[in-house]
Amino acid sequence: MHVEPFLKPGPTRPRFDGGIDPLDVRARVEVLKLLRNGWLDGKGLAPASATLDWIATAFEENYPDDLRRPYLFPTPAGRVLAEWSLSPWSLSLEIDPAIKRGSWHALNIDTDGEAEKELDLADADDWAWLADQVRSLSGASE
Amino acid sequence: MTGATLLLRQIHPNFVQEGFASSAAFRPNESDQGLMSVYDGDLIAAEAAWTHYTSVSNKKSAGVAALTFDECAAESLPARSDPAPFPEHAVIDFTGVEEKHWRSKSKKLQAKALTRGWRYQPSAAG
Repeated sequence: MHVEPFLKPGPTRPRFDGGIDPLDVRARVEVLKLLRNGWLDGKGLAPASATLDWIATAFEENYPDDLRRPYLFPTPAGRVLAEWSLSPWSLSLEIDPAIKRGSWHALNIDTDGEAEKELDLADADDWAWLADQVRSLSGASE
Repeated sequence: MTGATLLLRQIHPNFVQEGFASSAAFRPNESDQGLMSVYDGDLIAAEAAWTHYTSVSNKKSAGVAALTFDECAAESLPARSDPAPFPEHAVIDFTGVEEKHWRSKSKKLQAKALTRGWRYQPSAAG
């Protein structure tokens, strides 16, 4: 049997270095825009293209270039799940782009300690809070 | 099924980015009634499970991740055989856990699967 390890997230390269960030949010959004209703083996709502564009723009405008970018996944309910794997932390933000809100969740895999917070993603202050969380917990993983 | 039995979980391609599997792939969907489908690794190998899932069940899978029976039990998620759909079918039962805690449980399962690595990926075969 041929077994490959899961790829671990590498350091995010800032956009100004000329490299292609494999976790580039805009590029991932373009992939998610290809989804259609029923994307999950006949189930699963597709997020609207316009709201996906809003997510890409919101990250570009509010999320620091030097910070590790999240993986982005569709949810069956038509939302977008952003995930950061920063061992021992598993971080996520479930984004409802239709109302520009996000549900933040941080879980320490080792201790089961967790925190959650509802974010207003139309508010730059909440984006700053999000960036602070990712930055501080990234530090904990290094 | 023993504590070391591998429970093989098919990962939908839309739940994989750069080889990383979303925690969303490790929880039941709304229509699953709290029971997350897996293959009993004592009865079928990962590659054969992938072939069955994609060819017989005609569903999409980017690869096969795995958890042990004991790992699930440690999260209060008991696993059991459920051979009604087909003999190798099993379920990981989330119904004993309040749905608001499924997010954390799925992250714990994801972390264990990430550590273990893919048990089969079609693109890695050959």
